Amino acid sequence: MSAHDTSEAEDSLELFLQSVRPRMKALFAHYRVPPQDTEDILQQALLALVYQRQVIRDPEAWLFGTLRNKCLLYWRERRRKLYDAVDAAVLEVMAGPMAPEQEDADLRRDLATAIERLPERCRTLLSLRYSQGYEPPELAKRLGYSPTSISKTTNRCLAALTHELTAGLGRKKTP
Amino acid sequence: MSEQGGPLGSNSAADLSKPDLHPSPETLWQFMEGGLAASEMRLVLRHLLRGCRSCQERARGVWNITLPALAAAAAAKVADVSVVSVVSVVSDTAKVADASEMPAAPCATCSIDGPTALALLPALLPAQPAAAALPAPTLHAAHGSCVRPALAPHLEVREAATATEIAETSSDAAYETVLDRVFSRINVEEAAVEAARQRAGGLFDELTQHPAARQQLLVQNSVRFCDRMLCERLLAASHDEGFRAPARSLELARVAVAVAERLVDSPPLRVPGSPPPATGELLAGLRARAWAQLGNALRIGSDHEAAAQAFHAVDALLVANPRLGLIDKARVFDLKASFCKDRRQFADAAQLLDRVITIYRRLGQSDLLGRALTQKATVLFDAGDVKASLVLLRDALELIDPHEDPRWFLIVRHNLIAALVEDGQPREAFALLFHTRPLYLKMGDRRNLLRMRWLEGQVAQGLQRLEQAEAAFREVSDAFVELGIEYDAALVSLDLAAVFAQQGRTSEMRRLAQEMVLFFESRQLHHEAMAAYLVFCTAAQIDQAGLGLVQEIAAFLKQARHTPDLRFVPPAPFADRR
Repeated sequence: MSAHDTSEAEDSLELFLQSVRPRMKALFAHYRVPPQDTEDILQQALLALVYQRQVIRDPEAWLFGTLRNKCLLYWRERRRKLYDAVDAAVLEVMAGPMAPEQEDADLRRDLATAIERLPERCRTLLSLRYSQGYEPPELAKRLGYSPTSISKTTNRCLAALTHELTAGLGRKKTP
Repeated sequence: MSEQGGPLGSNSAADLSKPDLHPSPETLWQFMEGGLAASEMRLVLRHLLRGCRSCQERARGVWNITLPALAAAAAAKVADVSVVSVVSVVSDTAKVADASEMPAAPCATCSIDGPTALALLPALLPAQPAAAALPAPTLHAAHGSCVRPALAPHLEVREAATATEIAETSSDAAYETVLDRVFSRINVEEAAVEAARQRAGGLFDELTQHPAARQQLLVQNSVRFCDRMLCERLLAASHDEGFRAPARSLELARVAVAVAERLVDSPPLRVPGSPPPATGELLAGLRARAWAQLGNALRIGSDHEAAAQAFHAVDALLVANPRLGLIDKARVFDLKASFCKDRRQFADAAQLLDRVITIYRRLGQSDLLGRALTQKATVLFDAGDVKASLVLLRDALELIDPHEDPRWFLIVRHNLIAALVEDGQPREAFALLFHTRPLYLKMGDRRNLLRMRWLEGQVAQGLQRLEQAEAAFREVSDAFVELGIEYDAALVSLDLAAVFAQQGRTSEMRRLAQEMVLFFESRQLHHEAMAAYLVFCTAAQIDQAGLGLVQEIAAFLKQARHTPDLRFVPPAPFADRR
């Protein structure tokens, strides 16, 4: 590649970035990724584009496909944090009375009711986890899941529980 | 704390635990994002478990965050307490002419007097993007519930702006800042990547002039070869060699794996102006592609056991790095699908290609999508589902640009014609072949022309123009023998045998079998393929090679092409003649 080609390529990247700028901003706003978290996502995607530019025929489509995917992964990651946090909070609530006896009993009842509204496999899994303190490997063994799939299943059940917490009565979602 | 309470930071955990109090919208938002401390999470959880409808309603709005339209509406709802009030005050403040018009007495709620509130408010104008990041007291000062009553007598209330508009304006400016920062970094890095690519070309030439063992040694011992772009170059070269020079392809793939692993073990040499070292998902993607390319090269060399080990390494990398780049994943799945196809694990191959298709569709890469559809069509064809294969090939044809990618366009057309013949549609195949002939001629490659001629023979056979078919098959068979392409020669000879069988020309079939077996005995036709071919020869010698047997053996040879461990089971009369 000649020096002239390189300069052209640089120019074209700059022009390309300017041309996609408004759409890019709209995409981040659309997915509601906070600006401070946008930086990592954008940098990773653009670096990958620069490295793989030779094999990418439609850079704009590629870039937006990649960014959309990264935004979804970002929220998936955030949701996973939520499930972990809900799980930890429930475990803590179940671990011992931290509130007056009546309130504690109410909480346990409310939690049991919430779990009761989940699909069968989640009821079994979460009951074992919260009432008998089973860890994922023990759950896998007891319920016949493979060690690799138990965390996915547990996550789905925690997602269902979290959904139940927010959906209130009468709404069910199969994980 | 009220239901419209402030941020969590302004409330104690003990407050939240009171049953008649509600978490603030911000607290709820943080809860739904998993962003609260454990003790705060517990308190909000308790609150939600108590079944507070209004909080559940709010939290539910945040829940469906992956549906952006809903999420935006939800966020506006969550934010409406703080932002709407700010908006009103901000727009109102613009109309305040004189500070003396402000009430001097402090606000009963926030204890801030009018002039102070006025001094604080300009910071909240939409032109000030940092409004959302202002400290809580400032927001509180701007909060309609306390400042607004004080201002109201002096202001003409205007509800022009909406909460969403203001939220967008402030985040818009924040996005602009981020984009500026990242764009300027990327523009600098692009030049560095291009320089690194040029340098890698030199390293590649230097490395590949040595014997394979020495190449490995150099990669292990010289930090100069610990280079990401060199690895990319090796992978591309290994892929290009593919079927043309399988041994060379394997050698290059092995070196590429060594470089990729070396990049993990030790940091690369930093040349001034070089791009930042690949880390995290970029490096994992490179490693996965290197191992997959090695698996592919081993597959082409029919070393399926070693290929399986290489793909096992790929699987481990995928599990350890679930956030691998989409295009890296697609390439890896694509190569693994070819491996599965050769192993005749058609369901697995089709499933992997479905993922590849989804990725390319998501990335809007129509050319790559077309190729992936073609790959899947081949899998379905081999699995015997010719109709489904035809559908995919027609879809692929729509996606591949004949001017941009003539080679792949020709591949798809070729496969489509073959599938039409197989599906018993020789007339359609004939018409398509007629229109495709100029493309074959344009490509000019002798092998391609031979494949076209072979296809012409098959189409003619389908149209019962057996003389034309015989002429084409003889021509192609002679050429393959001359070029030493034994496997294809075997397949064409069986096509020719099928023509003889259709015409009842047993003596010519016998002669053909004798000639071909002599040729194959001096070549490296793999064991099971040879066994199958010998069954055909034996049957031809005793005039028992009917059309059914010839077609059965031809089908086996096609299946066993890249699967040498596929066992041939001869039909009953020839069971003891292997």
